[in-house]
Amino acid sequence: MTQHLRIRSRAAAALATAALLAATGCASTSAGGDAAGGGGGGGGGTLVIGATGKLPNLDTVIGGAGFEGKRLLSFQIYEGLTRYELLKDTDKPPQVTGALAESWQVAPDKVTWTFALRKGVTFQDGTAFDADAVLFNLHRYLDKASPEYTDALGAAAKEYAGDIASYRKTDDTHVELVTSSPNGHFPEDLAHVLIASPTAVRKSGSANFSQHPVGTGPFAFASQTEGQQVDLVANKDYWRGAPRLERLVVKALPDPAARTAALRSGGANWIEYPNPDDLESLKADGAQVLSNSYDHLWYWILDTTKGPWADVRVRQAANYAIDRQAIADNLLHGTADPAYQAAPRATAAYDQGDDRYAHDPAKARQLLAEAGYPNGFATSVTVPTGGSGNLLPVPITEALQRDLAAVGIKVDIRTTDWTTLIGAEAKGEVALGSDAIAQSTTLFQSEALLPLFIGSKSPFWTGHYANAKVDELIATAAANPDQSARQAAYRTALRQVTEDAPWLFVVNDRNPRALAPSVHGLVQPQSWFLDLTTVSVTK
Amino acid sequence: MVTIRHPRTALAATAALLPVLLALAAPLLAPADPDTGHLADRLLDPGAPGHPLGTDGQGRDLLSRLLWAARPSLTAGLLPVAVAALAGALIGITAALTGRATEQALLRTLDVLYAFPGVLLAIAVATLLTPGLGATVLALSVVLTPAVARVAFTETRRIRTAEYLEAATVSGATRTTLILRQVLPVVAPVVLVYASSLVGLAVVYAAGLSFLGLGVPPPTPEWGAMLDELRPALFTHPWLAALPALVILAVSVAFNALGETLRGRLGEGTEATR
Repeated sequence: MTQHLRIRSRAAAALATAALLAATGCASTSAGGDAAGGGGGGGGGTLVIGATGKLPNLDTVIGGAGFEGKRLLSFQIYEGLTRYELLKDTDKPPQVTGALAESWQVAPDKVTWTFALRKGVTFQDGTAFDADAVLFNLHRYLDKASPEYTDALGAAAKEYAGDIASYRKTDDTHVELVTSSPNGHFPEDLAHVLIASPTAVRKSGSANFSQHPVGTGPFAFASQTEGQQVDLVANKDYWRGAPRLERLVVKALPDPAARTAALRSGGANWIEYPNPDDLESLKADGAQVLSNSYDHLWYWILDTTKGPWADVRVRQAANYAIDRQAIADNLLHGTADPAYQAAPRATAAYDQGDDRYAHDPAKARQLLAEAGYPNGFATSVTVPTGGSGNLLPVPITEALQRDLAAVGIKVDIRTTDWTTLIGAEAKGEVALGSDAIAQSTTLFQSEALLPLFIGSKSPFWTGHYANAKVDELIATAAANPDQSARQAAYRTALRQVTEDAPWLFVVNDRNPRALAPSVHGLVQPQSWFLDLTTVSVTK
Repeated sequence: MVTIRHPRTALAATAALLPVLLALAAPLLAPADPDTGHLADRLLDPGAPGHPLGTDGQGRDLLSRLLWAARPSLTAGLLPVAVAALAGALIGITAALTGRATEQALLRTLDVLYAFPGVLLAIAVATLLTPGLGATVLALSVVLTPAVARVAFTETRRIRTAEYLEAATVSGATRTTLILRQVLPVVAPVVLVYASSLVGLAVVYAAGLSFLGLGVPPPTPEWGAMLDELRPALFTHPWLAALPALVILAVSVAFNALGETLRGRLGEGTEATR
């Protein structure tokens, strides 16, 4: 592949020099070559990211392997009609802005949405983006009669596009989508309904598209070693301007020690979630450690119908029994903040006044005695050994186990792998039949998902939590197109969840990542997701 | 006494006995409760005040944990070997003395188990069970039995046509009597010696299962589980991370040495009677 170096006006002078050097030294790079920044790559260099989880299926919405795959790959290759604005206002949760749609309007009936599509956008294979491309993708996700529809796609698309009752194009640059009921956060949902190149899908066949993915995002697919590594190259014609990087490589490095080793050896120049214990020495070696709060919660879901957990006083007692500050400070070295309530800190639903559960073992014992368990009780929790966003699941749980034992709650820890745990959860079950599960979530990554966590009709296992007041609040909020009204309702709903304590609230992660000194330009938003267009790597 | 005539055996036996004694005396020797810890005292290096071998990632005393861990770790190392010795001897002798059909059935079944690498088979069996010490013992018993059975079979085959066996058969000994009175006394020492050399392997396998999360649940100390827990500290606290590995190594070497010397002595004995 011939490198076609274009120095964008936004590229810094230093980068231009680096680019020229690279251009003279190496006029071409092979897309499938060695990863670790050696040899090839002009312009903004090669970024090699060591990811914590498995790599996702690269077909648009199928994803899998948690949100990390979406963050590092799906959202880099594809875009939806909308996207998260991740470069501006990084002291606040990100807003939704136009991507493949420039603007949109909802009719007075609150269900008919008209999207004005962005003109002049092309897919990475040169196919022009237009209203037909949108329809093609919606057929592929929603229309079982479509030759491109597959069950896997249909199931995956349901989460965000399941609300679409009908769709049509009004002209080449406008589409009209009708939702089955009023949905105030519909534009945000569409950031996850990713649009693939119709030409590419037809060429590879719908089922094989994951092997040859093509979208409109800042990075185009180059090659992959299934399950181990995915190589992307800059989309020079990206409508927001070509990304600074030449290449983006994502490696699956589930073992924290392996990630630290990769950063030290240069096998990666960016690692996700470094082992908190390694941060000090990594910094001493010159690594940059970046973090920012986001809508993350690490928690236990308690079975609110089982044994003592059925009593709200017992659930509150457990929440008073644990020392979150010690976990955040000593175990996680400040890469997380203690969570004293259901709403994560970096969300509009968070209100400091609702920080309810301080470390108060005496109060915990008193509540347990009131509930009729003065001597405590025995219970069990299923804990994943790793997984996207789960921090250090077993060590955190062991610390909680000791805190709970101190007030008489004896916890049996059962470990299993993340895939087994979420697989069972999606079927409404608990792996290994415990009374609780330990896990993490990004509660507001998408408002569409909130009912899955705190609503009573969730298809997932939610500890059988049901509160009619919460259900009503989130249902009425969802229908409201006014964002501040929705946020106020969510705040009230989460306040109720905090009081009902169906979970053991533990910590809010701060999304730490360690970068080699050669990596520049990362903007760390208050979000799980990332915009990598401003990142560059110098030699 | 044996000890005087065979100093190497005595040394090996002492080395192998030491961890067993330490396991039994753990409550007396351990300076602290193995499950108590404070996050503020995490990962203290060996020599820290009150923690001669330092603390683990939960702030628990490492010496106390290593001592207490000897119980489940050695149970997982010794019990499966005992089970395998008994079951293996029984299967091996039966296969060698019964008809061709039974022999083939037993041997081919063992071959199937034998075909899997030991660790893989152990993982497969342990995955099917609820994690815990029981699962580890059962899994390792299944893994070790075929090897013992092979040894017992070969040894029984060697003496099958011996004159004293024919004499016993002619004088009306039942098969049970034959096995218990005539065959077992010959086969048992060979099996025991072979089994003692398996203890080191079993300790390592058990540690491996715990390392994979298929062994004892937290916070129970177990050498393999401790190795896994401390592994992330390899860069920052190499000594702490190395301690459980060193203990596993020392114990498996001790039992291997015992097996080797016993095998050597058995060889001498056989040589002398010939």
